[in-house]
Amino acid sequence: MATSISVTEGTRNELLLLKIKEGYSSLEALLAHLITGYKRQRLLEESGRLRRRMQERKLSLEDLVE
Amino acid sequence: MRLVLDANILFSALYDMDSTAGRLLLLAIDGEVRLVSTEHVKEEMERILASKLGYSKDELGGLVAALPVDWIGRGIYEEELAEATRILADPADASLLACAAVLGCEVVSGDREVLASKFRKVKVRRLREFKGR
Repeated sequence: MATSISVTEGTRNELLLLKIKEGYSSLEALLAHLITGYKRQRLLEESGRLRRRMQERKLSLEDLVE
Repeated sequence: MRLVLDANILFSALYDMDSTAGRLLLLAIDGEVRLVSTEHVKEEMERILASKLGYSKDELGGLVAALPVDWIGRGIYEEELAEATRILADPADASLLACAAVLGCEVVSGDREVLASKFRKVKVRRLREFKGR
């Protein structure tokens, strides 16, 4: 079921420009791609943080999973 | 496909996003598979991350939010937990079996005891069974 969201005209224009430049069939498809990309990025950030902390404390994966 | 994940799988994924465990999380982000775990497992992970890696409350919240996992509350699997605890003494391990029994899905774990457990019709798989999927 389709619904609407409210954004500023500037954001709307940015989204439409991106949709055209990247060749998406709809704003829905563009937004779905952006959401997936954001989730992947967040996961990679958390992975990086975990690895840094493990290195700082000289811990292995086995030390974490007990 | 819906899978119940153990903490060791989630740690393995976070440690190496190119591993089979890591790729499983990426498949979940793409909507190819649905991953769930239990409130017990979440608390176990938070305890380990805070005590061994010094994660703050905010950092724990950030990590949990970034994982593509639906966390199942105790109330959902409680009715099966008492019996599952007779099979596996560790509450987090038992919660995996109880949750999978209630939701009717499989468990993925790297824990020897969990892998060897027999509980109702719950199937427990090794991560390597998902290689190449």
